[in-house]
Amino acid sequence: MLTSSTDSVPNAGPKTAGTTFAAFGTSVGVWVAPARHLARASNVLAQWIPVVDQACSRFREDSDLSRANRNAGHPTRVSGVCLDAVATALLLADATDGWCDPTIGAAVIAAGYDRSFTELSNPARTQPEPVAGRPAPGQSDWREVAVDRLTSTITVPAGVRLDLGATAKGWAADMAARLIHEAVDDPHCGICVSAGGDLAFAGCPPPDGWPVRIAPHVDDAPTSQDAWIRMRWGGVATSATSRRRWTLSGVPKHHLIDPRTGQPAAESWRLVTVQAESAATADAVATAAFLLGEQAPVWLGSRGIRSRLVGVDGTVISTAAGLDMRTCPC
Amino acid sequence: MGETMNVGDAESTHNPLQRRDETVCRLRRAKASVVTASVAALGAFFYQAASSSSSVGPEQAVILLHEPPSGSTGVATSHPRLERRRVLLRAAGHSTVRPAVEQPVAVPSQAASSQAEASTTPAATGAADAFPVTAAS
Repeated sequence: MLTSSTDSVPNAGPKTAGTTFAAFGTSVGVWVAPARHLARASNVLAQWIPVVDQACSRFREDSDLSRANRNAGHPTRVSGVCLDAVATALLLADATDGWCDPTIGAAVIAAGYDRSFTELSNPARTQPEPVAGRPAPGQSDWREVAVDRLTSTITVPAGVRLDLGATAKGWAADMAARLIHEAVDDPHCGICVSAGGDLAFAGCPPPDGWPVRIAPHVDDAPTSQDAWIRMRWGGVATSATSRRRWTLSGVPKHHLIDPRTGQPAAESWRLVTVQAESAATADAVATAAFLLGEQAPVWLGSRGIRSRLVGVDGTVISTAAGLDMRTCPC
Repeated sequence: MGETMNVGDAESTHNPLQRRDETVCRLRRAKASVVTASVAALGAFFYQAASSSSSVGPEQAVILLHEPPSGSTGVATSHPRLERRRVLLRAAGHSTVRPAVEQPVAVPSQAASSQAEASTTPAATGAADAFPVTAAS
């Protein structure tokens, strides 16, 4: 049974309502304005989540992605959802100059992230079994992954494992927002979908936009120090390493892997928040920016990407026009 | 017929979805019932709709968000997404109005494999924050 809250958003026009689900090892949610569309939106999201999980999870043995990884070197027939998710990941690998690389799956496992984080009950892990045929760091090439829509197959290069962790949640949020927009069949309805803090927007936002809080982790309670932005369309995503950390044989690790080294990236930023045309793009670009370290502001700015970076020392840098900052609506 | 307005600055963006949303929002705020814009300027979303009807020219179209006023001229697009929203494309010189057809909503799980059907539909955990949060997961 679905339950929901119907909290009003001040200065946001029509009454809004939202509800959340535990999914993808994190929190997934939807907010709608006006509130009367929440039941429909929740139903669509509830049906969409398991479809994505079945297609894209690397923690399920029976997922399309796991089957394709196990069958590396050969074409694997997968669902259209998996095809789209992988194709999106490859497009975003290209768009980010290879920084957001879906072929880092073996490196992620080698770093100890070999099960869903909720199952990593003991954060102090020992070295997992090496992945057979794992290419040397920097040797896997996302351009060798083949997506064939005619045969509905994916071919993962031999020895490579795909990990869609940097794009799949954003992509799932984008798709959910569009599906809900169609389902509610109300051009006046505004929709915001969150997949683990990757936000996608569709429809007609509240007159003053959606108030969005920037936080290190999606489950963090609001604080007076949180920054707030206004969103109307597209997507926004934030990368950080304050959570999803563990130690492997005594060495601190986190989940953002540098594709050049196959190791967790150096941490120049506490938070990287990116606004883009979609949540998937924002997710990928935020990941790339985090991995780029001190080069990130120039890389983002030269591409006209609106972002906000918070350094480990608390320094805040904005690129392009920056994000549309606003005060707390509380 | 309600006020007619040009999309104007919505054409400055290259994002079709943003253009579409901005168009709808401008319409809503202006309380107008008609928006005029070049199909090309509105981008792929509307262009796809226009191209599905050979009788609508690509240069200029009038987009009605609801049923057209009585006596107005119009051509109904066959694009299903637009039909669901009862959006009609109207072009000068055409006088045939066809009612929009309501179609069932395609929920992706319906088209997915039986594997998906075997999956457990998650239950809502309940109260959401009043505001969305962008954060790492």
